[in-house]
Amino acid sequence: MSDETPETAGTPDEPGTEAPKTAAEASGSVFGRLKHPVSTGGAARQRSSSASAREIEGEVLRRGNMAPDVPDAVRPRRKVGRRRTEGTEAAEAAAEAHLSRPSDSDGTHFLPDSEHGTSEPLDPREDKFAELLVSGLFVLATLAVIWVCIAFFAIPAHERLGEWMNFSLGGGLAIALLATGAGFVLWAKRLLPHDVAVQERHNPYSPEEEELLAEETFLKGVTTLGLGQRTILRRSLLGIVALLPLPAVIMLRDLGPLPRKQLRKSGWKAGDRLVDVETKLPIKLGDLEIGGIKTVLPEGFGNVQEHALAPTMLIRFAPGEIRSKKERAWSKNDHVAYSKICTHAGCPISLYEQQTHHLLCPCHQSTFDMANDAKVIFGPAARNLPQLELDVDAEGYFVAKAPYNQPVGPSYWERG
Amino acid sequence: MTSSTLAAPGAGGRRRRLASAAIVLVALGLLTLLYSALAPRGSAASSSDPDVIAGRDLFVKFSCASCHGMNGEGGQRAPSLIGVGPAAVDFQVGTGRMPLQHHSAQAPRKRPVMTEAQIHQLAAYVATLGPGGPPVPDVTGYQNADVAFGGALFRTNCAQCHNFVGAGGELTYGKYAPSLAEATPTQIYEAMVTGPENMPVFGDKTLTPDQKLAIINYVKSVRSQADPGGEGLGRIGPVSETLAGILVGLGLCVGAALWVGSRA
Repeated sequence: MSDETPETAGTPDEPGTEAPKTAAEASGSVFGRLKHPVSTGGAARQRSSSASAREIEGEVLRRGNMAPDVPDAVRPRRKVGRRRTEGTEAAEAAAEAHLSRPSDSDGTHFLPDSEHGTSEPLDPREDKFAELLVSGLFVLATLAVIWVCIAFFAIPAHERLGEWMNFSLGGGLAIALLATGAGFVLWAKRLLPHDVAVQERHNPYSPEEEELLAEETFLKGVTTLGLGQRTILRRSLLGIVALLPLPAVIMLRDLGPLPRKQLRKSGWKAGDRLVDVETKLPIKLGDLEIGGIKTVLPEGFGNVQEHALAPTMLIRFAPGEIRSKKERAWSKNDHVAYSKICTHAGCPISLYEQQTHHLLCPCHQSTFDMANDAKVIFGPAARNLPQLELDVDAEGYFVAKAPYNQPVGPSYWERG
Repeated sequence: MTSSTLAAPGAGGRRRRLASAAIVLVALGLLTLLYSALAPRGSAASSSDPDVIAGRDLFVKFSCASCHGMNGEGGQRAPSLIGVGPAAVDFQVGTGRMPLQHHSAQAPRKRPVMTEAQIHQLAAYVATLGPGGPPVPDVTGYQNADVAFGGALFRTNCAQCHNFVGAGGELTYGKYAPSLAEATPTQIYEAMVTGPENMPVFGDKTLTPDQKLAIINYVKSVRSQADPGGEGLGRIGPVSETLAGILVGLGLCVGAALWVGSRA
């Protein structure tokens, strides 16, 4: 902000004339304030230079090389009349009144105490107390910093996984910073003068001639480059600009190829034994208690990548608990097997409640009713969990009677 | 003649008497059957085991009977206790979940109201209601179980609900998987074999006793680790830490800024 030309600040029509709402908004340049310290005494300030709204408008017109009698329609619209402040007449009058008050050299108008209430100077005892309080906080911060330095050497670093060390360093620094900050805040609030000041906002638009100059400079630059005449230069430039995106396109090829039928394979074949995911042992009829659940994979499963879609839950119900006819038909002695991959976003789910038979997905709270064909009863999942048809082989081990009859896991583009 | 005429009604009277005696016998038999069906089941009434007799008194005194029925047959408000076994009693009463204070989505853990000896007596009584149900398990030596394998088993079978360090988590409609912070090794074992409330049952063929001890060792050792940063935030890792950092930290900063601004 220029100290010398507060007059450019704009016409009364422009937002600059709006009275600032807070002291912070109106405070202007810090260095300006430092040069012109103010007192909280009630005396009205008389400053030498002050610009009235009329003077400002005159200055704008002069700098735009326009006479005051130029009709509005001809004046550049961006100068005048845009963003007209909407306000009551009283508010506009108040704003006008603030701006007619005496101002600093940087265009700051200090409001008399009558505008914002009086601020009595502190009595000496309060002043002393505030000073002690602030200095006390600074001393506390100093002690905390010293403690941090000592703690770094004094505290055994690996005691309780470093818990004490962390507390000493982090806590000490936190106290130091907080106490310093609190000291500054209290200093400002208790000991500094409280003024209310308004200042015109500088004009957000450049003067017309500066804009014209910029435009001219740009066009001149384009002409100087000589793209019009130098054909070979222009064509070679076009070549590189056209080819520049090519490496990006080639590198994005890594996103492919499309999965095609890969996502339809779950890793299960008809006759595959169900094996425990940890012990890799097959599961016999009767291994599961009523209300039990187990995560299973097809026997001989290899690496996780190949069988990412294979995890399956084996659940045992009490007799008569299965409500869905289809589920019962695909079950074996009250055991059912369902895909463990949520049909919404593919999270592994086995938050199974054995009394309600609800299965909850921890990611987005999709809830499936496992006694009723894993129907979605809550949440964003769109499809029931796919069921794996169960059978028992000659030795009494659970096997898949058939692979999943639909793609397991979340939806994808080509799923159909 | 007379003898025959006398004999005839005499023989008829004997038949009648025999018939009525048979009716009385059948009626008595039916009564006995009815009594045995209605009378307290099991051998509690006739048991001479002082634990069972004391347990039966406790069953009435602590109002177990008001929900579970005089013979533990269950009812509208409570499940049957026939055949649940001592482990279930030890778990439910030992964790303070039973006796229930009020009906809610789930029974919360609280201070147990019975002493260990009383729980033992109650379990002895409930065991007489019907056969079956796991006994109170012996977990001695769980510290020697394979803690790494236990961790793997825990993450496969338990972590989905209880969180991978046993911090617990939410389920549907107000139910939750409780934190395992306070659970004793015996209680963890009992929970696995009995499947309290909505927890699935992990019988000894689903998870062998050795595997259960390994899981217990993992839970106990992971719960006893120090938190280097003070508050562990459930130890669920960077997610909760970042969330707390952003919500609490940023929230405090915004709050402080607003406060300073409003007082300026």
